[in-house]
Amino acid sequence: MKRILGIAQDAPSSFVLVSIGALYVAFIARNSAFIELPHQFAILRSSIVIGIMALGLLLVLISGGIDVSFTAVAVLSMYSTVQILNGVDYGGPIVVAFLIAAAIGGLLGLLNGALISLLRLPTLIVTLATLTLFRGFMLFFIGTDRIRELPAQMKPFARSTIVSVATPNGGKASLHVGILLLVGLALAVAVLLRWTPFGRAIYAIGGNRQAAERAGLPIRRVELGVYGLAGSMAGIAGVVDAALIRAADPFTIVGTELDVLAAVVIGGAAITGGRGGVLGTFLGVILIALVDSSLVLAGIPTEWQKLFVGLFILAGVMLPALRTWSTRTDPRTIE
Amino acid sequence: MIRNALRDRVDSHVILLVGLLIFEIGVFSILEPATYPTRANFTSMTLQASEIGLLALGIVLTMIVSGIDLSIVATANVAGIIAATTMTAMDGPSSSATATAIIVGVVIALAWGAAAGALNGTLVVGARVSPILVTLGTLTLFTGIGTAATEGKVVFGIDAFTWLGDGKIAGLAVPFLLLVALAVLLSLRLARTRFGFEAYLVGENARAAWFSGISVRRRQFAMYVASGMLSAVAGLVVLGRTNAAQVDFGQSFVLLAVLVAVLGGLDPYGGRGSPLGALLAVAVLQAMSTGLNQVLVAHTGSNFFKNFAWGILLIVVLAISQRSRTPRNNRKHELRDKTPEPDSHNTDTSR
Amino acid sequence: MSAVLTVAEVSRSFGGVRALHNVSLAVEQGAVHCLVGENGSGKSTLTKIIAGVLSADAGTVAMAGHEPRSGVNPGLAIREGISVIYQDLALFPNLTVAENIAPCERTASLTPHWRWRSSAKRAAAAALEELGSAISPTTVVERLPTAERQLVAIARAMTRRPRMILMDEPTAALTHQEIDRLLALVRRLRDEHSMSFMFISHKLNEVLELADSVTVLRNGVVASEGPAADYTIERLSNDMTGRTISSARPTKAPTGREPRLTVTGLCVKGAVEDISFEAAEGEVIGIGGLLGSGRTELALSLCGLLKSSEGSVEIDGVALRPGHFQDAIKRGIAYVPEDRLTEGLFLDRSIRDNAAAAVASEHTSRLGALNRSALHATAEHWLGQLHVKTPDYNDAVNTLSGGNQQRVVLSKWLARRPRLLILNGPTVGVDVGSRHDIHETIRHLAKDGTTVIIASDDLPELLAVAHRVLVLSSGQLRHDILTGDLTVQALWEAISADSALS
Repeated sequence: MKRILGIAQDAPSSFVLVSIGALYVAFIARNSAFIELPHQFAILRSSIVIGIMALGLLLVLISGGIDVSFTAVAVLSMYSTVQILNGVDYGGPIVVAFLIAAAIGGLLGLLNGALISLLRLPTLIVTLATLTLFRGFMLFFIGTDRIRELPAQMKPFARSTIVSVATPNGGKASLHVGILLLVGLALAVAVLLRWTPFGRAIYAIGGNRQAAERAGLPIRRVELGVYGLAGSMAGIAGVVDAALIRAADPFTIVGTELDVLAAVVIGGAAITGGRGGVLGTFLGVILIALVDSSLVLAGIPTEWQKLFVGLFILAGVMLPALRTWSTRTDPRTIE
Repeated sequence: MIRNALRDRVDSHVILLVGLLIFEIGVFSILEPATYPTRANFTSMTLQASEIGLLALGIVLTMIVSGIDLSIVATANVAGIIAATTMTAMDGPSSSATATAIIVGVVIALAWGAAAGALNGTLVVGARVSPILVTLGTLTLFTGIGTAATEGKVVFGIDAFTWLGDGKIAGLAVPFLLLVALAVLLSLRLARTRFGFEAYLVGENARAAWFSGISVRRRQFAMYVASGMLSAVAGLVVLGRTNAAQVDFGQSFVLLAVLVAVLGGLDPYGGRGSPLGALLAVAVLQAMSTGLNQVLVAHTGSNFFKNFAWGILLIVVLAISQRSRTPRNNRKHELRDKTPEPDSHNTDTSR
Repeated sequence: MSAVLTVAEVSRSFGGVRALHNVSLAVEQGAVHCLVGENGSGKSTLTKIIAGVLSADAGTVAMAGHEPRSGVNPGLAIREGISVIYQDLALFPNLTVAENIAPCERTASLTPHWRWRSSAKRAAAAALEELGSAISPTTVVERLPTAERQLVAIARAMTRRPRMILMDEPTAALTHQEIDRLLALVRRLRDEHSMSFMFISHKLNEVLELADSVTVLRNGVVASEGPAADYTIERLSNDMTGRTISSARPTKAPTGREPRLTVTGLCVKGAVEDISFEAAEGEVIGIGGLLGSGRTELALSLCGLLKSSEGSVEIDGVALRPGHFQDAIKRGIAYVPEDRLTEGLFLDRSIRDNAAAAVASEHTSRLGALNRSALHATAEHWLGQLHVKTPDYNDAVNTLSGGNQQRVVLSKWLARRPRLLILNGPTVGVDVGSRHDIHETIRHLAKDGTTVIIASDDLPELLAVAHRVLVLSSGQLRHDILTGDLTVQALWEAISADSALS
């Protein structure tokens, strides 16, 4: 038993890998359409938005906090970006939309960070407050209408694909270009976490806050940066979402907080801070996307899906507890 | 004596809330003299506040022992579904059959609530997983159970049961009376029993409580079970009011309930707060929501302004009450960072 | 020679408790300065002020060539050339040895540093080699045993090439061989690199062996200072404790009483080996020994807070369930923990609630209703017995001084009228007056028939209250000494001589 748990301890991703593998085997056994490209591409496509937000949340979790406001940040940034660009009748490259959304999201994230270090309250409470605040602000002051007319350059982006494959039944399966954005951001976050002093400081603060303080690390600045980056990521995710559904919907994304959090935690990030990585998170996102989008194909009725997702999440969050049990051998626990 | 009472933070917080409530009622009565300060309006406000209030009580109880229960709404909905299904199945033409159906339905719903709370409690206290993660996980799981059982459809109850939602006693809505009764009862239990005395100590410093010979884990577990049962009561009230139960009812209530609890003077780090504070907070919140709805009725999206206002209100109230307790929470924060499992030697030594 | 570090008239209080008063000292370039003092004498506070993690109320700290400072700025202290090795090591458990030793994150820059991993590994390997350690730089710190974590902390301090290293009890958890290696290294760095050290230790022989100069702190003031050559172990312990307090002696040991506590062949894995002794009704037994000798572990295992692997603990002839604290409490054992702030008190609660915390069950009706007035009366009775001085029992306990806080913790347990009272460092960080009162209380309890076990590194305290002292070393019972005419000096020799043997 210890051996099995020991493996889980060494590689936080192994639970996810085993689960993904098991699901693939099970799904293929149930329905061979599952393995065909259209469905595989669909899984990837549905992981783009969740994935980008998960990367931001990962930073927050490693630093020892939690953020549930990112969905509201994503929608508020996306919706106001679209309004701004439509307002000036913008026709230039889409990258500007990403930049504006990232800037708005970043500012909202900084507000989160500032409130957290000012109020010194549990980050869950503070971000719950800003979740309702941001959402209320957008729906009252900016608007509640679904905007179907997106800025000019967002339409081509919505249609862009990396590869398109003709399917036997005459249809077409394409992989959306947004996946490149996810991979690019994932690489950037990986570099940030692994190779920059800022990234290492996030791990240090999450691992032992007091020691970080004594080592003279600028804790407040790092925390502000973490929440700011998480906000920016959410903003970008919001714009991608708008492009994918081809409309700026003020009611999209909100409600997926839990899926994203589950993906990051299942991917090995500890809610107590100091632990977690991009690869694990990526696998966690794939797992959640897989469960979310494939249970129907596997013949599991829609109404049973949520139950399975819940079981998966619980199993995922129980993993760190199992890990502690397996290492608890020393009787001297009083110190 | 009065000096001491004033010095206590909880009491100064109560004064803050009462002041806010009077201010709100005053302002909205001036702005909307025709609709706001009326008997009908106050009755409707008490009715609307009851469900959130009942859910918030569960959050209060778990937060007192430094936990949290985010699965309350899912637990409540499943309780409503179970009760509705049971009652419909058992209902008969005779009034005694109806009475039996109602009693059995209520008992089963409450038992479900206790079981759901026990699952949360076991995972949080026994397996020592973070209460946020556990209850977010069970939130999905319970929603899943509800969806699987109903295929996501609305389940209807029986007419006889609507008294719990619509009924009035002495001109007051039954759900509101239920809320007040439970809040008073729980406050008394917390204030006047050994259980309550020790539960607050557990929330204040679980490690010191353990060293004082208090069964830390039993206190924590009991709070999760109680939270589950309170959620079930909330589910029954919703069933009574709408005569229907549905798995995706009131998703945003989780947030509201946390808001009410914290607004009511509960220390999110544990050890402080009272169900009566939450009762006051729910009044403050409802008075504001109803008032804003009436003032902004002509404005598009007026419904959403109150979300914005809630967020602002929570942050402002936290900032005010935070000023008086900064030194302590800094230290607590540090302790928490270092010892995520304050009573870790508990199981270690007994295993 | 010139001073590297000058501490000028530093004072600091915590909520009315004076931790440091007008403390001045100077550390010379290329010298080892030892700071000694009992627990609670202000050493840790001074360390933190020098490190810049705590501000001084008055006075300044200055590194040669820098402005005097008194505020909070740990980064500045590091840049000025001070490296501190804390008692709790302040390591990052989730990071590797290499990264702890040569961190990449001194700043919060966003510029990637592609090769930091390999350069950190090299730097760490070099630093560890200098210490003569074979720890792999790629190990994650949380998987290392304590002694190796200590070496990592020392290695980290070294790599900063500081002008002065401040070590807070660095040898407490090390074996004899490791200590020798560390002391040799300190000497080498002092002689070859002209590096300065400030060394805090309880082990007085170690201090005399290593130090060039010494400062002795007592109750937050400098008790004496001077070149190490002027000191002997006797003078050090006299200056540390002050001769006046040790005059009180325990009342006569009871004779012919039945044993209340019988310990037979008690073992705790890795901490305590095969310990047997008896304690009679009304007897006070001291447990002495250096840090890491098994002193604390023995006290913890007696009341089930630590699970014993073998042997038995019997109260009045009935064995306790090993590792079951609640059972021990039910059988009339009370344990007063070492760390008052995190284990003893509910800081924000009233003084009365704190004193009542352990006896709620005794004032509860069968239906669970709590009789508050009776509970309060009990709490107030014991607070009065211990002379807790406060205008109002409703005040939060954190408004009290350390001495009064400790009296509240004791009240909490005395309210249960324990048959066996186990105290762990009962007067750490407590003023002289409270200390005297607490000792007096212990003597009274013993006279009334309570058996008391007191684990402490405060030798005059053991002599003042205990009838017998059990001396532990390396987890074994080395001596069982009657305190009758024992001197502090003789007891110290018994305790430290054994550590030299091990």
